[in-house]
Amino acid sequence: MSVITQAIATADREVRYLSKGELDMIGRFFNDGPQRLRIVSILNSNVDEIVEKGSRRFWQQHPETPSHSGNPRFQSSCLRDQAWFIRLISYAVAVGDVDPLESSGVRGARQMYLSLEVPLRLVAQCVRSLKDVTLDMLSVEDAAEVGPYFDYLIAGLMP
Amino acid sequence: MTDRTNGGSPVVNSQPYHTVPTAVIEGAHQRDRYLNHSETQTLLAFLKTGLRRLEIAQILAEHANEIVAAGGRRIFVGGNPMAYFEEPSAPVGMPGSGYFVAEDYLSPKSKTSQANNTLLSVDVSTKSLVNPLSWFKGLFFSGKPSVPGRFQAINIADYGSVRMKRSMRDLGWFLRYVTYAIVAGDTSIISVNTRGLQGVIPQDVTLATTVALREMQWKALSFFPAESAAAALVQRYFDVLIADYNVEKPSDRLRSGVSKHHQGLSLPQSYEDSSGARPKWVMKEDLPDIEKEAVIKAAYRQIFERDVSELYGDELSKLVSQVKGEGGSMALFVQQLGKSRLYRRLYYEPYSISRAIELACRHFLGRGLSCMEEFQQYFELVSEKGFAALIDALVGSKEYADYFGVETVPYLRGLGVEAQECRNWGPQVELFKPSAPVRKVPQFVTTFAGYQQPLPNQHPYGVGNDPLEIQFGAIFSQETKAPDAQPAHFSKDSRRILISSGQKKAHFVQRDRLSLASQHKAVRDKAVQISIDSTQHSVEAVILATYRQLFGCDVLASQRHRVAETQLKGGLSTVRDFVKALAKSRAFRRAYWEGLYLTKSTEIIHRRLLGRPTYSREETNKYYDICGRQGFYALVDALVDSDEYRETFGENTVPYERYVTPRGLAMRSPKGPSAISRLRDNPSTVGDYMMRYQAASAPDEKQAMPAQNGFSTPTQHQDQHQTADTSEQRPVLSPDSTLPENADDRPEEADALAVVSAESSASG
Repeated sequence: MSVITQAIATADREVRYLSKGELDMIGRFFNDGPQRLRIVSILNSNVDEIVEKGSRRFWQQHPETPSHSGNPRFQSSCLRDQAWFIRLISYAVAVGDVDPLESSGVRGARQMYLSLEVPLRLVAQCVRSLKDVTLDMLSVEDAAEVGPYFDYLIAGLMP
Repeated sequence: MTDRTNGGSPVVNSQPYHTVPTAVIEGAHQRDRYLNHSETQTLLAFLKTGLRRLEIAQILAEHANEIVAAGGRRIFVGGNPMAYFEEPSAPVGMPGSGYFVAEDYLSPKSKTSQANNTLLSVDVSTKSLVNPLSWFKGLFFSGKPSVPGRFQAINIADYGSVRMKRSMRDLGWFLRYVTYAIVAGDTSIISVNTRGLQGVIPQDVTLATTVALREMQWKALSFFPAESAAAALVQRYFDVLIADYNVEKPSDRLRSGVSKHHQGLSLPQSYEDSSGARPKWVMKEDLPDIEKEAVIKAAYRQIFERDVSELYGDELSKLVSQVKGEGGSMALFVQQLGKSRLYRRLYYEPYSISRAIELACRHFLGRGLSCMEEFQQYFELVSEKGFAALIDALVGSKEYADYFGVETVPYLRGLGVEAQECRNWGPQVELFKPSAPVRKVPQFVTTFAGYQQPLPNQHPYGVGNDPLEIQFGAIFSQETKAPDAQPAHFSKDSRRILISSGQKKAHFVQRDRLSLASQHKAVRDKAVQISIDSTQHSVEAVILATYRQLFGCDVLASQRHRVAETQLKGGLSTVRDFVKALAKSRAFRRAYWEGLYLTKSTEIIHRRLLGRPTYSREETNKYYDICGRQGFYALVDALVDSDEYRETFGENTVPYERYVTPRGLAMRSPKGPSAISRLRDNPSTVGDYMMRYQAASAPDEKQAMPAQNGFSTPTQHQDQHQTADTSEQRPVLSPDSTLPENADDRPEEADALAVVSAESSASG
């Protein structure tokens, strides 16, 4: 559900044309578009670095976590999940809406971690270190754009 | 966590149409990768043209009235079509809030808006008269669309104002969807909303609609400079609209049932068309190597639910080279993946066999198990011949060949791709989630097993698992106190036990009435106030009682139906007519029809008008049919004109509650719905029941429904109880049990159940 889909769905439900306010909102979305796509491409090309730095920082803070226990399976799945989170964030930034995060990220992941008995506190902590690393890499403006998506994800994963 | 007992009904949000960003993201998400260069370029191009698109949409919206007017005037003659057009921006109620076209055009609000529209259209036409030359030019020189020879303009007077209103509304809608699609940058929103409309719109106006749409296109283009990019865009979207409108309704997608006891399903094809951006992966020999690689990865994602090429690539390298090479077939590859050591380790060994079968169904057929028989068949295979045989059976099945053939990678046939079964809805939605492998407990089997339960569980005064019972306005209520009592599958063979609500039978009433009529106390005396009858009671009492029966309470003055009341008072109509008039009133329709779904609506209306719950699926199916084909008013007619109504209430009696369901009865117990079946709370009832149940366990006993309107005093109770015992009556739910009203014909079969119910309602 992007900004546009949202506006159309609302207008359709009320049987009217898109209002001025909605058109302005979509217009803003279009204006910000190139910046968003630039951020997406930065995330895409640096994902390995982000995951590497992020996981190192996370393991420094929480050396007791299962993925740091030396078991290669835990470690690789931890890294895989981190890359996956970054990818979801990049989708969300591109669409300009938290919906990609909401549907597969927060709800799906939360349920999965709960049933795998992975402590959610640690997952949230891990995403937080990813956020720190990513924001360091971006300019101030870009960081302001990406930050909220990370916050949303973290809030959703908090136990 | 979903409720395991009824399979749950998780909410799914389908994506009915796409915008450019959602389509791009969906595509990337399906392939499990980041946006690639070309996708980013697509997005960028969309964003760049975005502001221009918004302007176009705005211009179209501003001139909406003129455009619609042009279309309307082209096809209608003999009046002003715009008089029938309602402002689309006027707040229109949601479904269920009481707005519907057939009544509204007489209200003062719509009259004023009609007047406004007339003014507006006069305004427009004078504007075009100001410069007759340009109007002329517009007609002859700017490419006004040509009209097919067989087109004939429609006369407004012949067409009728209701249809006229609808036509104009539809033209407005078409334009609205065009503006949406322009903003979205994707035509799917038009396709979804217009494809297949041809079958809905009457045949005689199909051609006219096309003509009107052409005219609207022409009119819309006149607001943009000729040959501009904007004009081209508007032209294209209208072309798509007209093309989609003219497409014949595509035939439904059929899905055959897995056994002959289970019917197949059909899904309108437009559904599938609109689901859009899901790629199907096909392995062909002449594909370049890099694309073959992508297809193989897709197969990994389907079978192993992740890309295993990095971790376990070596194990599978031989298979991969086979499928890539000469004559490699995807079906064979999938089959061998399924038989590989890796698949065994991931999806067979950690699970119980039942769950492994469910997961294998997802991986190889792209759906969940459909029914118990199917599961049993697979389970037998696995236990006799091992897991490999199951894979062979799945991949070798006709269904696999039909859907995927030898080349296509299996895909999930979820919502939007195919019609979904109701039977396994919850588990199937869960099964398609990425978290499915972490569930170790079989889900489908437990759900199907729950459906085998007969409808009234164990005994008629229990908690019951009646899925249709109405509880404080909710059907299908969630059972939280005793989760064992799962709602049962209300299948075509299900019969509900209906228990007499303790009301007296008609002939008893007659006798009582005679004796009481002389005392003139009938209305006030609660104990004998069984039915209100216009021959015995004052008209006021009858009216009050009717409102109470139909609405469940005394109604507000504004909800009363004065005309019908006057007719009743004047003796122009009978009580039955009065009931019918009330049931057809605006207030009743609002309360029990608009805003409720069909099952619930018919259930409630049935109870209100006939005084008993519906009895079986046969009955409800009949009402579905009436509602679907003829609507609400026909339903009321069918109920009030039915033989049952006439026999029971006649012309002069107000309907009253005659029967309740076991669950409904239990809910009236002051100790809560489950109290009545607990020995501690209700020793006498349970004791009676158990005794009778044991006594009556003779297998050859097939008896009619125990529901019976026998009235009994406490002294009669004993005798009747005896009768019941000796005649060995018990609630047998056989298909040949008769409807309860037929039981009225056999007063000698007064049944203990009715007695107990009378007793318990008296004590409660």
